Amino acid sequence: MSEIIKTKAVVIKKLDYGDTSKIATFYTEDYGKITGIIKGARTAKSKMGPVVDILNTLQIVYYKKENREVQLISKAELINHHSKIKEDLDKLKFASAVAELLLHLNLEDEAHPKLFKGTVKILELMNESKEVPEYYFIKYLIFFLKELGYEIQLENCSCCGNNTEPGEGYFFNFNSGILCMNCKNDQLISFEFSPELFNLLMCLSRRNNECKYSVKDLNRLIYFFEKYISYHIPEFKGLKSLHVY
Amino acid sequence: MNIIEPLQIAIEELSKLPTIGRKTAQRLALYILKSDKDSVANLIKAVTDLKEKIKFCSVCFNLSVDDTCEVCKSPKRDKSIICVVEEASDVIAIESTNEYKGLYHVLGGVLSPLSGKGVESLKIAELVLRVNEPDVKEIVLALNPDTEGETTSLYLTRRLKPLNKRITRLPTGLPLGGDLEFTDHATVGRAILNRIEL
Repeated sequence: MSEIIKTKAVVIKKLDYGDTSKIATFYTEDYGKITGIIKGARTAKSKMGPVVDILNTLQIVYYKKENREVQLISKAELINHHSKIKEDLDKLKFASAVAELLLHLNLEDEAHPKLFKGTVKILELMNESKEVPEYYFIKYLIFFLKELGYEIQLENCSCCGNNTEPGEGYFFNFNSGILCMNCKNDQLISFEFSPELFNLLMCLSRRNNECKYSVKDLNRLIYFFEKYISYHIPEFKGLKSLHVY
Repeated sequence: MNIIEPLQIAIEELSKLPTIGRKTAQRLALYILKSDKDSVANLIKAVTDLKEKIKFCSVCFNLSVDDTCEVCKSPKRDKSIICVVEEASDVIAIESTNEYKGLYHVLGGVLSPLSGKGVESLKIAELVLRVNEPDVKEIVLALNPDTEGETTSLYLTRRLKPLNKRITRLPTGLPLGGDLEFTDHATVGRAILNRIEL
């Protein structure tokens, strides 16, 4: 049984196939991650070829067949190609890391419209904003982990339940979560948050909030999240995109 | 299906080639079987020579029979320009235009953050050494205008800029015979930005 599907999608991977075709992985609004073939995409006359490029937001049409792993893409129209991301090496690095998270930590054919909208939004913010891309990438990591069910609770100590306070340093156990000074001796410490770093993480985890930051602290938080994901998802081997150049 | 062993092996080997499916492989194997001995011997020799005689040029990493390729050896080529391409097939594409008279540098791929293909896996350090030569005046970045090609171009620009050489790239825009109405807005936008004075 096949049906014609029209949905919005972000291209998260592409590779050449055969003489003239491309196979791409899309993160779609209505059907989650799908893989599709674009026949003749590499020929000069192909209208879809130039459009199906990594990080582009598209409107695609394909014939969905349940038993087919690679769907046949019949139409692809460009919505946003994020030109400013593609002109900036640092923005490209972190936008690629967003695509990498979706590629490796998301199951095929599992729809998650909220995650899709968040992904589109973060790419737009990285494209338009003057903030460093690390800033939005951490915001995305927090959102992504929440949507996948790995949200980090920052409001209370995971051991005694006391509220966390701004201006205090905290500790973290990858299994249980945030630990206050009084409880840190009871559990293995996986990561230590200075007061500034904890404040920054709290600030970044809130919506519509402007945070003061240093790039060094942002990179420390990215390191923390990479370790956190590796702990909970053993097949995750870190974000290659962040270490390519 | 019972297929005699030598034919079965030939089909399996041929079907490993790109774009060759099992049916095409079977057709090719049967064609070879029907061909005369000399044709088959020539085919075998051609394939063997391909592997044994062709190597990478030690200067530009283009395909070559000798240690240095024909382009690098030629006294007629302009040694002040180096055109940076992704693969040896791109050299063939540019050479077929007869418009370029400079040298090449084949990177052997492009930076691909999602595949983890990084700087070390490409011939970038070798390029930097070549560009440092006083004879070199210009570097033409002729990489595909897609995300990975753009990433590589940006990275190379960052690496080569301090060497104070002219860095150019192939323009992007409308293809010959294209139709403005049916072209995507990213390409039209690039074409407008890269417009030329007449």
